[in-house]
Amino acid sequence: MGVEKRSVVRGYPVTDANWNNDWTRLRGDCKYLTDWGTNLLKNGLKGSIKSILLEPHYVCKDHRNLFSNFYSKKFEESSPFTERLHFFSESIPDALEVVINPDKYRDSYVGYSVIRPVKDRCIGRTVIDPTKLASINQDNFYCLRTNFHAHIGGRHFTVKGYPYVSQDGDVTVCAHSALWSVCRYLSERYTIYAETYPFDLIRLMQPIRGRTFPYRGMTYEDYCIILSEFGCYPILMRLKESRHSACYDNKEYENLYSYIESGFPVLASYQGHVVTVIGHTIDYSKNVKPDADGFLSSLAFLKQFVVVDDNFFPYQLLGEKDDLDNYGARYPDPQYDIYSIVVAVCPLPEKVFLPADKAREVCLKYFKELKPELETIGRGSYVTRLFVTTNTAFKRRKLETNVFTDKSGKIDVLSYYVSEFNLPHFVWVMELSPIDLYKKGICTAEIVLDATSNIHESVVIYMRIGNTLVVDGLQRKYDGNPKQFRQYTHNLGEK
Amino acid sequence: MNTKNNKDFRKLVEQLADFREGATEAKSFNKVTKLIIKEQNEKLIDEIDAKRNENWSVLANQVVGSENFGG
Repeated sequence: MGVEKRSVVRGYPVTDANWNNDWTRLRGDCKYLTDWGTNLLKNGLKGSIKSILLEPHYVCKDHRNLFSNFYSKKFEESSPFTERLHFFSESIPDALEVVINPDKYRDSYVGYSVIRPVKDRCIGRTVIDPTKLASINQDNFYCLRTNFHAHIGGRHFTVKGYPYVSQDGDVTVCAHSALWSVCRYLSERYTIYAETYPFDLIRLMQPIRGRTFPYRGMTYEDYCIILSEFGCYPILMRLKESRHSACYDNKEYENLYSYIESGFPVLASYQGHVVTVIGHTIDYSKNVKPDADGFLSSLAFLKQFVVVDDNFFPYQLLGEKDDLDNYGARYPDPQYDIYSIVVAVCPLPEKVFLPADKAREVCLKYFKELKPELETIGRGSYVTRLFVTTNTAFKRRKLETNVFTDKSGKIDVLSYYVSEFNLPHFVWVMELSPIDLYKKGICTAEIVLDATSNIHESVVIYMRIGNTLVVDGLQRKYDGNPKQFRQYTHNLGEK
Repeated sequence: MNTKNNKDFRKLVEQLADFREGATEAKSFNKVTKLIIKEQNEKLIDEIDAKRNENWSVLANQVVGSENFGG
């Protein structure tokens, strides 16, 4: 039998009032959508969409890769084709309307989900824009997103989200799902990384523990080999001895937070299951305590991690045990919470030679020793925030937020001055603010380190305290220049 | 940025002299730099590197996850 040459995209209006029946109707036409897949999408998208378009014949590059290398070898018949669902937050009379008037519906495009012909875990590549989800409280919610492209009847649509795929329970496991999402996010966002398909990850596993498929759990050695072959330079963090240990190694927890704050997707193992941490939420009302020197890390305001767990709809919140929004409590046993991460792996880029812990040690030493100077600009407990970023993003945001603002008022010439600096590809930045100003997104000091340096070298590129700049062991005060400046916001997609 | 601000900004940048003109020695900062380098050089074992090596020796062959729908 030949391939069907024509298959029409069909539209399905969905309403909150008729939610379950609308999905039942869709399910009748979407032959690969299983109970598990229906429930995952139905619960995750409730209140966020008004129309679904079903593309009944879709060639998914990721499924085709698994089909060619695995499913085609099975006795039971399977299909190399998939179906795809497109979600819109607006009512669309029919699918033809999107082809006729695509511009009218671009803003309401919430994302898509590939439905694979596999048993149970049918959700293939899925990209949903979290800013368009009614289930997410957008206040103080920060997570990684990048543009993905989709075509409906030849019309181009874009969705900004983080890629998700469920494990199929046959050839891929949760580690493959998590690794695939990290690799796909990076390759879609940065041209330096090549696109990687699910079976590539299996091929890169070492057979020293026997066959690599079907269904073999990965080791950290596999992780490191795969991520290195992909083009990353992974770093391991061991947050606790085992999942039964009561508390975290605070330094490693700080490192994990700094890498997340820097905009890296981090693989987090609960020891038994693995997820990807792609962001966090913040609670400024938390009762926080500074250390004996009067300093505290921005980690103190962390409320939840934003995670992608292949067993659930994307963008779950991993919070404290008593947090009603903690998705980890939906696991039967063991349940997970924000302290369940045993090991984390961060896929660093090559030129971040200086790790977070060493950068933090140096920056804090300067700030603590120079506390009298800090106090001339503002008193109170000091909040520090450490992150790594590219020099281009850093300079661009300096200009956007501190120089070329639309607001009237004084121009921060020192932020402009920074844009003229010769910087390495990556820099570590520690910002400092008195606690009240921190909550308003304002800093009074910052220190910028060369991320390619060694701790035994002179690592500081410049330091700024108020309107005083320190470069190459010299300092100069710029009278009349503002002493405060805006926080750097970019790594987690902030505007 | 509006036109007035653009003009103000250009004027400010044009007036911005070389950093070294009028700069003085950053005594406090330089003292800390020396202190950090001295402390680092005196360390016989770098605790951060040692911890990383220890982690790897414990984790290398550990399975990331192994339960059903774990892995």
